[in-house]
Amino acid sequence: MFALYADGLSLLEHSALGHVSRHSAWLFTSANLLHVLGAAFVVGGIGVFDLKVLRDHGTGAAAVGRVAIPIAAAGLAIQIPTGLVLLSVEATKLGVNPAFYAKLAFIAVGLVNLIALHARFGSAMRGEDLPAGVKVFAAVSFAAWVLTLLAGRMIAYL
Amino acid sequence: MFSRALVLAAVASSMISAAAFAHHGWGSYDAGKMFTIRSPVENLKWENPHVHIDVRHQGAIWEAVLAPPFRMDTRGLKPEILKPGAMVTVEGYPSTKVEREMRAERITVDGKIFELH
Repeated sequence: MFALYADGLSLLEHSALGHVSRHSAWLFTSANLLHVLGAAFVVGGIGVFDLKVLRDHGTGAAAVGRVAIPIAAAGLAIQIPTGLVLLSVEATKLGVNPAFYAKLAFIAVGLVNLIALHARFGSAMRGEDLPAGVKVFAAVSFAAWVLTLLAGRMIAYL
Repeated sequence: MFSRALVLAAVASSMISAAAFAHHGWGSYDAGKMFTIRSPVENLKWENPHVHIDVRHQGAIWEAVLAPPFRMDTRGLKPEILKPGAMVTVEGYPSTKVEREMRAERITVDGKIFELH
């Protein structure tokens, strides 16, 4: 399993993307800048929604969600390609960085939490007001995405 | 629930930022052991995230980590200036993790000093 992961990292590092990312000052720098913007969108969008759920116990959450969740989704759409560029420059090193492992774990918590939320509440998630039980998931979500951001920034220091 | 979640998030993030602070910038380099290498460039790797040069120091090859290519460029350091054979003076700190690796604070080429941070 780990061998497969290590092979994947090596493949990414030695890919054309890795090569171009290492040698183009502009591509790498742009990816770097946009990855910060994407992080702001993800954490900002999800954070506003989570805090709305926590503050008003789910009441009026959908109205906020209609604005906040597309922002978070746009952030995610920025994070995946820019993150691949950043990772590809030295994937074999960055991919085994403890902070990178922590980041992946927090992302996993965030995604599992999202799936569990929809599995637990089902069609109740489509109403204007969400059940108060959603608050636990909002708290986990908020912590998971904030910690994802912090762990990501930490990669440079380990 | 709201305040408990906030406290949880605050505690967790302050733990991480305390760690980040402890590592800030020079985490794995010993800032107390600044030293200087004067050598011709043996090899140049002009790559993201940092430019590297191999230099000779006390009979061994050291790898000096310079700035990102983008910053090198804006400070006037072009790949042509650091071609193998170019005489350089690098001042920096030894890595505490990798043997014979230095993080360069500044580099002198052709009598010109370039600050890297």
